[in-house]
Amino acid sequence: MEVTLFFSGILLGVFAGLMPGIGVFTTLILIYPLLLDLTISQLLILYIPLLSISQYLGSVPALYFKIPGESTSFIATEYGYPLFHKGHYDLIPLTAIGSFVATLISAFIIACLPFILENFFYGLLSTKFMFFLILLTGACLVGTSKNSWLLTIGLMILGLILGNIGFNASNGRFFGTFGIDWLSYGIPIFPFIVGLYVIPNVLDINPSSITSKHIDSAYSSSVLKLKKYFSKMLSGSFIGVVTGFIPIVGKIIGVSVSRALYKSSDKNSVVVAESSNNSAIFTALIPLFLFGLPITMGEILIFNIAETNYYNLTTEFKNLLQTPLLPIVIVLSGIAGLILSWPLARYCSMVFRMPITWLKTFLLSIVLGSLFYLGIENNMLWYYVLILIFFIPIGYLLRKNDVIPLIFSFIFAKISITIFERIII
Amino acid sequence: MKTIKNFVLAVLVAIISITSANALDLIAPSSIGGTTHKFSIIIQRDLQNKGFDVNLIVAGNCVLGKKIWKDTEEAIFITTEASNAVPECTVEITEDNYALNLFTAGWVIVSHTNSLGERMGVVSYMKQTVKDLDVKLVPYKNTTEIKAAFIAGEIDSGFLTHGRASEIEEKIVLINTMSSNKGAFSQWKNNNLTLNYYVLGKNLDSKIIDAMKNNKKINDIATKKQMIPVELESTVEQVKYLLTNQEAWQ
Repeated sequence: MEVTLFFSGILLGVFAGLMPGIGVFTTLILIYPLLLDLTISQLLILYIPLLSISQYLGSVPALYFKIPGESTSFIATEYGYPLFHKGHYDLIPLTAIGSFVATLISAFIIACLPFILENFFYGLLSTKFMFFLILLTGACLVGTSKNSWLLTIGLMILGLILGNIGFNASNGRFFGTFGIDWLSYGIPIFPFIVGLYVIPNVLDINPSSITSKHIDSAYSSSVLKLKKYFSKMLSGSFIGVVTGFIPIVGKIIGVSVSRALYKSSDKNSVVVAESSNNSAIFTALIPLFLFGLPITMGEILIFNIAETNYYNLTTEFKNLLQTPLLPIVIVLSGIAGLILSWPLARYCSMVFRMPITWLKTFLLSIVLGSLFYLGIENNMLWYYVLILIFFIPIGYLLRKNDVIPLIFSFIFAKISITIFERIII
Repeated sequence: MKTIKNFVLAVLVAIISITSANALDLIAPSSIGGTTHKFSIIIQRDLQNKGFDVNLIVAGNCVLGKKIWKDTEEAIFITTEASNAVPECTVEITEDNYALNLFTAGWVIVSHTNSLGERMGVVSYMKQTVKDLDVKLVPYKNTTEIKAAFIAGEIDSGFLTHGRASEIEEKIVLINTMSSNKGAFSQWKNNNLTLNYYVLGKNLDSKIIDAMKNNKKINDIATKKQMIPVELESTVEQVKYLLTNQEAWQ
């Protein structure tokens, strides 16, 4: 049963990593009824590979097609994509190896948890620390964006305004709904990103001469380059370890901050960012294991399901930490991610054999199919379509600019305002 | 084997839900992945197993939930006083539409010391319920966030459900609203506040209400989490109880 769950987690991770918009949380929702009968350890055996593999593979469609498979893939799309298509094919193996290094470090930290004083982590959960990191992310975005600083700040303010539309459950207030019921939900992130970013980019895709041989050669040569990139992988991993503690947006803060260590045209910036997200996803699990505190959407779902079946979940998690199960599952997931990235990268190169019009149609069909699916699933298909139509022209106008500051501040919007309000009380 | 069976069942349920035009709508006026969504899935699965055709609609939030409820002809609606106390979300509870109470949760104020301290964490939509206490209120999205802030030392005290509070190891319980001993809070008007997860129905067959009453999983959770629902003798009393409680939440 456990082995089946582990492999199911891997398959689901492939699905979550490759399908735009279908992240870890949505994938868990798809199999929700199945999860209700699982024990905590079974839930984690399914959840950890799903989480890990989605991060490993999210960068593949990002580098090939400039389509973000995961929310952290924007660094790969915006900064990795141009490098990859200039012939830096080793970005795929290097990001995969970087992710593996981060996975090993995370597994080690989680294995050490029973021996670390819990008080050590209190500071990482503090509101002031979170606020500091969010400000640091803002500064990194302004300082390293391809845009002028004025435009970047303007885009960030726009992102904060758009992201705050709707009902904010943290402060109990409505903002910018103008009495329209649908706006109380806020602007759904997927049609927003598809309209603003994905569709303009897909329409802009050029033919590529990349072949499976290029990928094979990149994989074999990357082993020789490992020494050169190892320190970058380590620094990215450690940044992710710290930022992983920020609720909901920790991994995005991690990739933003670590990427800012290098110039946007530097391959290191992508390697370090892709290492960071893999350690962030695992350290985000530490508050759950130590204090029974879920801090990401996926964890909230897992916790919510598990608490139905247990009297005291905190004790259950602590008991689980006394066993080697979690580090083992994390390492095995990392190995699976590393192995899977190679054939997947080869397979993606074959897609470029299609005529470019067919390729664009194919990619748009996948993206729009996901959008329609999510719209129907959330009972708001028309709202999704309206949001998409509204943002396509804006995306087209901004297509020559770096819109990452707009997208990230949109994602940060509600939590930033909430944390700011808490600090000033 | 059981899991595989459930998975196949879930897939069938999903297919049936999509293809069936005459299914009864089960509306969860909440976001996906939340507690109300979880209870809705448990009820949906149970009703499907008992032969009822039920289509789950997760509205996203209570404003949209109310909108869907208004537009539907035949539906089940799962809500709480807390959600219903938000003016934009209020669905009127009447003797005609009240169906069943699923859970009743008590509330607890926990503190690091024997007093409320300077800052107390409270769920944002509940601020009204504790506004007369002499403490600065810090709003949070849910009780899990309050628990995190309490553990991290961000707040001196927190207003939590009994179940959530029981997960915190080092704490002093200042009051439990379901306990007869109110301690220093005997003068506080909301010292017996509870939160009920209840079901409203529109054109609902009584067989469906009976089927929901006999949901083993829901009954197990109520026992395990000490959330046995308050069920009064008559519907009139029950509606009055919920309305009185809802006023306290406003």
